[in-house]
Amino acid sequence: MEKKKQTIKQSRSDRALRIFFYIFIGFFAVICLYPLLLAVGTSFSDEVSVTVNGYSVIPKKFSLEAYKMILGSLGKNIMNAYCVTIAVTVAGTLFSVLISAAFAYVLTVKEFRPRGALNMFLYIPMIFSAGLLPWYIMCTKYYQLTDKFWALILPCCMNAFNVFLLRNFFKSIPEELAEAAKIDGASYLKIFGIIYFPLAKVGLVTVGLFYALSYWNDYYLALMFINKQKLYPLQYYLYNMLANVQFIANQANASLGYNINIPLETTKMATICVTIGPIILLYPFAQKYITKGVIVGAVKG
Amino acid sequence: MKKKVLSALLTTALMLSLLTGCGSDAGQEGTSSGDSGSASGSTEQSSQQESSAEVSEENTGTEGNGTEASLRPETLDKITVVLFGEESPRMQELMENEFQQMFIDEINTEVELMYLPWTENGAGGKVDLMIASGQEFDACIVDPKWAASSYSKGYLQDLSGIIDKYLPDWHENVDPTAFDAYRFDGGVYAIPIGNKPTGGVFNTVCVRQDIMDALGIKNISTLEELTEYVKKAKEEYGLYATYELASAEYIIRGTGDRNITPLCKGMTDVWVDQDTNELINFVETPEFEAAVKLYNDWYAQDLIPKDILTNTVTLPFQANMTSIMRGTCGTTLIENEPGLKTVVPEGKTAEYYISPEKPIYKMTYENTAFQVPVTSQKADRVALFVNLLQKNTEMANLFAYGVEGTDYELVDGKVSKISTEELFYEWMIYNVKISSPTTAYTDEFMEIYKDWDNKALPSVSFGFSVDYSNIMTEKAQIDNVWTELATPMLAGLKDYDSNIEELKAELKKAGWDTYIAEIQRQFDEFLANK
Repeated sequence: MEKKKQTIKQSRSDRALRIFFYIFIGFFAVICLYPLLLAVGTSFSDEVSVTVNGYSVIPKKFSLEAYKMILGSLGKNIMNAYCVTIAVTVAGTLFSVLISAAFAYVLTVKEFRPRGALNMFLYIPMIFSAGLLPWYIMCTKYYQLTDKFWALILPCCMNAFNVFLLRNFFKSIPEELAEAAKIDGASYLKIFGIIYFPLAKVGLVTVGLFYALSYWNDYYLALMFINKQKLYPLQYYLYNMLANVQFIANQANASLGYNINIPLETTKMATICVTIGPIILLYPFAQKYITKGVIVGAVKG
Repeated sequence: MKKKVLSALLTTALMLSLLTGCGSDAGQEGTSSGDSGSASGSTEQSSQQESSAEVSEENTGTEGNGTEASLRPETLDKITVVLFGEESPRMQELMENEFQQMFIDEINTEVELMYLPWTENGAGGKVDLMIASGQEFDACIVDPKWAASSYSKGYLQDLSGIIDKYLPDWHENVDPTAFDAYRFDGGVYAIPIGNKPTGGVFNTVCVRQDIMDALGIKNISTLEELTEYVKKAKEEYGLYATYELASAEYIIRGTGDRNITPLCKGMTDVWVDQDTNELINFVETPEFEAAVKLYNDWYAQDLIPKDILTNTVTLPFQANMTSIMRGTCGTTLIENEPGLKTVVPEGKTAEYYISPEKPIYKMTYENTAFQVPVTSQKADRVALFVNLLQKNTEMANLFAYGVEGTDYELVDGKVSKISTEELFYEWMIYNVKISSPTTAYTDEFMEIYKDWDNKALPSVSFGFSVDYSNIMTEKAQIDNVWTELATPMLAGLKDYDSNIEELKAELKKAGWDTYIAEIQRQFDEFLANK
């Protein structure tokens, strides 16, 4: 009874508006969710029925062929690719967040004189790029990254945009805290570790999620530097498989040697379902940070 | 002040990069070295070509004294071969054991395979980047179009001095005209592999024989008969005619007096007269008019689906959605029928030539080859490797099908596969002279297939491919006009009479004259060298 008193009584129009908003948001959610459901439905469909009837949320003719193809005889390779991707995502995200946070912190320390130069060092590559070939030569000839695990992390370990985002977070932390710590005899490393790092948790999680997403979705670094199948990350493995399926489907129409039916459309959809699984589970947990983080970063700075 | 100077410098740099980006031919070479492997390649072209000459000289002078028996080099060496796709677990196993042992026994060479996704197969992909950056590998499969592009960038090694000496068995089993697709300026820049009939490829119309039998149609040799068939198939079975455009070669056959074919693979706008060698703007031919009008008529009768341009259906013929498709070269029994039978168990297919009395031409559609980058020092070993893959039935079967008894069994001279995992590409190694057919190839099919090329004449443009580097702008503009205006006409959506003049005018405006003049120049050069 007491509780009831505390809430503000809604007028009819308020309630109507609220219902309208819920309907609208619900409708919007369905629109967003529909393609995903379509992908799931199609991935469980028979290829011929997809060709004849098009995509559908509820399979017209149920088939597990696409999943058999992806997970079947190649299941072991897929598991290996999953492990590589998880290792790259975890190690890459931790490493990248640490490097980016350290760089961003340095940019906020006023006493550090080469701050401006470092800023430019970060800023210029955002506008000008040396291009693909010098980058490729640098990574393969000088850093010898070909067929190394670190090839999947190092070339993208610091993103300038994320560093600027973190710098803005750090800037929003009152300087007085750092000054007080300094007076108490804390070193810069200690200030960074004990004060800035915990206080910028929202920013760090946001940037961490950005990094995790980019590492999870990346296939390009593997395409450039990895030839050993044992080091294929999941996205590259599936990218490769999809390219092969596409090729075989085209080849079947133009040359002798194939008489197999490749589940092309359904394979694509099954691929989507297999790859987005874990990262889609990560979102609900990090959502409260990511919305807050992006907004804070956007306003302050 | 410092800030002002810095901002001025940055602005200037930005302006410069913009200007160079917008520059034309002269600017392109020196600018975006990093845009892709292809751009940077042009800057390194001259030095690479120089080294190419040295390499080929060195190679011709190395191991072996010219007799077949002594071709096996005395020292063990290793070559890296780039293939596309995915290495199957069985292939990995064989490459560590039986295959590797065979390479060492036969050519004293260890072979290491490097697999890239199929998306990298072609100009501008990772292989180009690897050559441009000097990354070492010794061979990679290539097609004529890609080879032409790589040759123009100076990426490929001239193999003229090697092919006579290091390919003794190859010369027995492969048609040497296959080299024509890889000859540029008197040199040979790749070693073709495989030997399959390609005569009249895409010149046949593939139809549903079961439907023809049910309708009592005996033969199709004219467009009228084809129209009658597709109409009845729609009435009786509800099938559309096709999801393909009318530029297919089989529709053109017999619609004019001339014998014309597309100049090269995938080219729809420039065709060539096989008798006079004249290049033709396809849009201006009576054949184009006949093709568009045929499809206009079919479209009006609802024989062509309304979404032909927007709906990319995968294999509609096999899915029992259409009654015809462009045929290949007698291979429908292998390629289309098994797929169709999963939907229509009693389905049968056959290929017919429209105007069968007209000549059949052999184009270069199926030729895969091995390129050797200028960075490699082991072209002779690559030649020996290709020679081994095409040496005899035993070798061709081993590398395509695996070990007899473990991966396949021979049943009445045909290969019955035990393992379905891919080894060396079957379609690449398949040589009609030496390879054993699989059990999927019926005797009836093999009978027709083996002699398929006998009646085919080599096309005048056999082995020709266009280098677009001088006409890139025109090509892009013409492609745009083609997609916007010609494609809807060839799909039957837009009628001929009210659209043809606009199409001709737009093509001219897009730079057709420069475009065709450059292709003509290259073609004349090609014919002169031939």
